[in-house]
Amino acid sequence: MRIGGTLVMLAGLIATSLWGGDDYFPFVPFKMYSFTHEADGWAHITRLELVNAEGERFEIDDEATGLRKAEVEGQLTRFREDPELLALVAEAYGDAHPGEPEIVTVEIRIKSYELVDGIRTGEETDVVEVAWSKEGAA
Amino acid sequence: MSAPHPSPRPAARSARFPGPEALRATLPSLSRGVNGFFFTPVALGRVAAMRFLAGVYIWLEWWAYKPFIIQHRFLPEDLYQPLLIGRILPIPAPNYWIVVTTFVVMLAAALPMMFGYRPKLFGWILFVAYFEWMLIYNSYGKVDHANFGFMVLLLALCMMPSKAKWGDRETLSERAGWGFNMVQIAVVCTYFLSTWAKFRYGGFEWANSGVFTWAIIRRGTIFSDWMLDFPWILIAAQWGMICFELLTPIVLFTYKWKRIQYAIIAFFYCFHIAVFAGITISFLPHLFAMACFLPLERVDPKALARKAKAKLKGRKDIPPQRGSHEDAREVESSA
Repeated sequence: MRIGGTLVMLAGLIATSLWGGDDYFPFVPFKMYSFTHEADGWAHITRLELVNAEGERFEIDDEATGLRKAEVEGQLTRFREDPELLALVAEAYGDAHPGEPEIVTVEIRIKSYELVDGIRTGEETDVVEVAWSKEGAA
Repeated sequence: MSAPHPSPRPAARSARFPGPEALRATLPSLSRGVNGFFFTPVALGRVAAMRFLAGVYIWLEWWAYKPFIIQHRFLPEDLYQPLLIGRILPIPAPNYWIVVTTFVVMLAAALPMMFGYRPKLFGWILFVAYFEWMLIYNSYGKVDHANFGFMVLLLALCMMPSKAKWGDRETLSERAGWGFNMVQIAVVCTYFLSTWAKFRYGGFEWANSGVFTWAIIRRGTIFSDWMLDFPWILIAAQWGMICFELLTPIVLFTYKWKRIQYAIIAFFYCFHIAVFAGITISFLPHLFAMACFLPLERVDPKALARKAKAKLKGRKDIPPQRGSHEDAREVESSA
């Protein structure tokens, strides 16, 4: 019986590792850093930048709204399809920082470094991937 | 496998039916092996120590390790991306009050559990609250993978005897042994199956790819940034990592040779220190769960407090309370 409990746990882990995905939480494939990154190509870093009503532009960290960089990346397709969703990030920031000026622009920016043979060439790009601005704001 | 086990059956019978008789002789040794693997009794002192460590982690996590989880209370429901379990079970989308309530219940239940007051009751409350906490953590587009062993630990602790006392090396429990064995298997799976995931998602090319370069560009520190100029070191490290992870199940089968097992576990902790120095990823809950490999029943907080007092003569006011967080290290050096 108790051995059964252990085996069920093990079976759950192995099954989701073989066929499942993150959706089957808590039994998830342990895929931290499992994706291959070509030694030649571009390495990307995502970040969120906000602009407030006073025109100040700043980058926010994971704790500022609770939405982590990894979560921004995880939902990037959604944000691309519907940039209006970024208004929710502005809303969350406003709720978390009640005293501060209103957020009028939210940008997902991706900085990329070129790699050749695993070494940075110094070539970098920094693009606005998705942006949202409050209507009427610049 | 056939052990010289004394059989109560008459010899004549075994001559006529050699097959089943041989099987009968093998079965006890097999079941002894299985029982030894799953149910090697563990002293209750370790249960008390692990309950305490689990509570310590709960109290550390929300502010020192994953402060963004509680920040999820500000996120509008439209950013919530429920996992399968959140879609099947009637679990509401987190909002401000759900997150705050879960948080308070979790911290409140951890206290009595960690000090051994009604540890099963509060253990179950804690387990449920922590599970919901994990759903809040992982339901916004990214699932992390460091917490599995810790969740198994919380669950296993609920099923262990209530009467566990610190430093109790006498009272043995098969149930505790079984529970910790399950946690240990979960811990090892975290390593072993992650190699499988690397092959599955990254392909066999993973070990030759630029994944560590990428990781260091994103999260590098002064200890690792210099390596970017030496990609061959990183490739070697990737191969090393694969070998290390594939070999981790060995630790489960060394339970009869404690010194070897402790040495392997010490190596695991060193591995995580190196990873933390390089890319500031600590797998902290995993490290707490892994402590159940160690003979924490040998830790007697009173004796430790006395020792610590002698060392810190200048600061006399340290109360002779529960053991320090250095328990594991203390034990290792005294083992």
